[in-house]
Amino acid sequence: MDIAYVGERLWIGELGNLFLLLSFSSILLSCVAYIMARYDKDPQSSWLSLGRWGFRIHSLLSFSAIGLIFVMLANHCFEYHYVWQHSNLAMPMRYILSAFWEGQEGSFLLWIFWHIVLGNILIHTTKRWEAPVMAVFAMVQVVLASMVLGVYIFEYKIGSNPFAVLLREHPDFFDDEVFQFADYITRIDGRGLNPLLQNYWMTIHPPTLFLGFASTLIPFCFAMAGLWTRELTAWLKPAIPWTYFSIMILGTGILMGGAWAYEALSFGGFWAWDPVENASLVPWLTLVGAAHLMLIHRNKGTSLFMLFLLTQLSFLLVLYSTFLTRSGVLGDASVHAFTDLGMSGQLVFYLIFFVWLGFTFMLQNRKLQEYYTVATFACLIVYGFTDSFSYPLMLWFGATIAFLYIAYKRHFPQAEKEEELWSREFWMFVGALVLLVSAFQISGYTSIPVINKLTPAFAWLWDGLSFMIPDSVHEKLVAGSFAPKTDAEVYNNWQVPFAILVALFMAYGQFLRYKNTKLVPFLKKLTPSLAISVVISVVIAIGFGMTDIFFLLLLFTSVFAFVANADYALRMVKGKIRRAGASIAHIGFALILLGALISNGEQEFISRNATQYNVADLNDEYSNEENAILFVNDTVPMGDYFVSYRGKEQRGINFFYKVDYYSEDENQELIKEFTLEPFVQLNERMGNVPEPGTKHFWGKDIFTHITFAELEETAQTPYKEPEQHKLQLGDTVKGSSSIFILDTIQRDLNLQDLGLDSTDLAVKAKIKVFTLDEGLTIAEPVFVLRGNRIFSIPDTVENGPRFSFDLINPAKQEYSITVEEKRGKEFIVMQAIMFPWINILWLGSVLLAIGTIIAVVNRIRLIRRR
Amino acid sequence: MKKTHILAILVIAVAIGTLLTSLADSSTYADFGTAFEHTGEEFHVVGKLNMEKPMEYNPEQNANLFSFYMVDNKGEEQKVYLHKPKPQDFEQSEQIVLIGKAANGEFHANQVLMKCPSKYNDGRSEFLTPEEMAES
Repeated sequence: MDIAYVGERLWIGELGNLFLLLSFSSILLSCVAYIMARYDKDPQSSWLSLGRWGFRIHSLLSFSAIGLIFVMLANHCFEYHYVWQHSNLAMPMRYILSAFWEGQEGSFLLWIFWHIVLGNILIHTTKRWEAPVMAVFAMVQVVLASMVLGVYIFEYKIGSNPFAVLLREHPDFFDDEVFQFADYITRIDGRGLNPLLQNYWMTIHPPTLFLGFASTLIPFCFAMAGLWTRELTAWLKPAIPWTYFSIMILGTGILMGGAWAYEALSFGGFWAWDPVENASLVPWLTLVGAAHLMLIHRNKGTSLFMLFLLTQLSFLLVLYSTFLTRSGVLGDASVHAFTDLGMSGQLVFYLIFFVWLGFTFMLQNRKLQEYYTVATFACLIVYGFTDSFSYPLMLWFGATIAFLYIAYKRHFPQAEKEEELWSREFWMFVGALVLLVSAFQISGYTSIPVINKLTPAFAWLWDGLSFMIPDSVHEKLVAGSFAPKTDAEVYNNWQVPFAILVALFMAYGQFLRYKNTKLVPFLKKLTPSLAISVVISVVIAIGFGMTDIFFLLLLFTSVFAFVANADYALRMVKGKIRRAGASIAHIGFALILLGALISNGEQEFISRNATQYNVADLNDEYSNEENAILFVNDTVPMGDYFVSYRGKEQRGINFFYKVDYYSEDENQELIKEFTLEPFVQLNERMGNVPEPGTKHFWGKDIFTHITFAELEETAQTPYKEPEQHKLQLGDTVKGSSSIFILDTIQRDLNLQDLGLDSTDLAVKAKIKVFTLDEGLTIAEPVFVLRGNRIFSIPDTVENGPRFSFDLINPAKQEYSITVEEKRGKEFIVMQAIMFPWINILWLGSVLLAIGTIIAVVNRIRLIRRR
Repeated sequence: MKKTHILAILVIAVAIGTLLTSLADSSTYADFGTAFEHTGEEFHVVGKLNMEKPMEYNPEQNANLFSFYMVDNKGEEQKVYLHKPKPQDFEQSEQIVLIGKAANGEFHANQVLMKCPSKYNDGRSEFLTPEEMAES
């Protein structure tokens, strides 16, 4: 049956697709034109202006396409799959931004948007670097623009289109009743925005993070431009402020994600080493390493190869994290990976393409470039046309490392002189290497699902090496069955030592000079900070009773980094704010480490003390006494507080659980301190999601969240569903909270006492009832026959069940007794965690951002002055 | 040997070390059979909840203990003790991943990951009937 649907606004999608297609074409044109301009000697080449105009037209068209999506969202155009999937009629318009980037297509458009903003700034500021920088920039933009095209080439779908029409995406819906109506569009509602994202952090965290991702492209483009024009160092001057900018934005975006997780998720903290968090942290670490190598090179002219490598890696790792989170490869391993849109092949292809592009440029020799290109394409062809991917990918990976080594040996200046041990550049270099290794560990462990896909093909190798591989590992290699551990230990075991080293280098690095430093004056300058840090660390360590040697070392080094950088800012820079950027950023980072160490390392499950029952009887290794049960209106001690659950309240889709915290004064009277309202969100997208309630103090946070609660509205009656029993004298029944016996039947009753008519017929049942609270008691329900009508006068045991006497079957000597058991008291199971000093972490985050901004401004000022 | 060379060797050694120890330290995806052969070792077991068999959670006695029966991907069923409160929406889970160890003929999990079906897989439930639309 064909239905001519009315009211569909299909022109929006047609226009949108036209915009996307033209925007793709114009950025392709811009890219080609910029490449041509790079080879044109004329500084006012017409290729250059073609490139610019291509980019500007692309910008305008992409803006328009994004604008159309907002029009669609604002007008509830549910005939479009994206709008239907990510919004609904009830959604407040302030969440329209979140709805826009909730899906894959929207988040690619957000990324494209930031590239457009940054690209237009670059066109106006890069001057002689414009052609090569923008050529690479546009090339990346071509790839991104293709991700939202959703066109088919030889039955292979390129990208996923945000203007896809609902019924075309879901032909199965045709069967639905609603679609039998020509005006179905007035009858449907969207799926709605995931309620978890309806949080204020979620309106600022993703745009900041994507600006961070987008900005890592700029140092990459400058590095590529430097390699392309064989001016291996001149690109650094304009690239350094952008690198700092990128560090600042990406770092802020990551920490905002942490703040969101802390405020809105029940991770029980701000950082959970979740694969998606890791994927954004890793490029930040390498970028920080790259920024320090840039400084070394500006001042000493060394470390050029590592500098290129880390700058390129930062951007390539952003692409890799895109692959991890969007290809579906993480699957169950992460809570917030995107679902697979069938783009993984495409993502792998783009990743390989940019690795090839970056590293080909490192080979400054035509022949070698050709060899590497042939090797890459050979592997890609095998990968594309056969089912096997492990061999071609690993071969290509090996070839890439080999070619990188050749590039390092042949094309980059080798230091002739030994680096001095006591020089600033040496320790900055070592610090950058530590960051690189730290990034490698995080990235490697996060990549376990990828490793599982690669290892089984090499079973012969693992068999051959079985003499040196433990059996348990051997099995996992062959089966590809590595499972990431869920606790943070695997990460902390490595990252804490790395953090200790980095903090230590941060502490004394600035006191060293470039080239060489005389040891005695250096130590003299450092002594006051060292002494103060030892005192502070000892006080903190004793205060918290810290014993773990690694925690103690991290405590000392991060305090040392804080004090030494503060000292440096005051004494050496003499408080000149312009030049204190590095010190302030270092202070910020030291505080982040310190705050993370204390708030996480010294966090205390105060809810454990309240558990009244021994849970260790089964298997003490598993006992997890972090959850406490709270009956309504009971007051139990928790840590320094007394806690009472006051009942629940439903507001919208959230059930709020009111938890009062009391303190005890000297007269042992309870004084109410504060009320927390952790809640459970009835989230149709992800199941029910508990969200914490947190009380913030200066020195600590009390974090409370619900781990189990009855969600149904509490019934009005205090009794459970009635149950009828047919009993003979002497029968015993076990109820859920009582045991009772039908003892005797009494027929001669004083009707007046019972308030009955003299014509009524009444029989009383005498029931012996045992309850936990009351012990043995008697219940005496009465059966009444009045004319043709029968009824019962029920009897209720105090704090126990209620009985009624419904029927007598004289033939069988059987009596029908109905019992209504008393409901148990309502309760919740909750966790309360005390995070000490977590504000130090947030303060550090702010200082890190401020310090980096100051450094950016200072660098730009230096460039202008020259 | 130059300092940079020593550093390079050190960095490569530590990098390989991090990867190898992390992998050696990782847990394993397995079925109940394997987990019960290696009691006391931690495994990730993937399977489905058996709705027919009883699920027990008595927070009044122990808020941190929940038991149920799970069938793994090979069809083997085991009683599972989860040493945590009963997860919300547990009955609706489509697939579960247990993280824990086998002991005394039972599987003791300290963590459970659930994959819940999207209520919107077919999208139907989202569309109001004409009557419902008229009401709203």
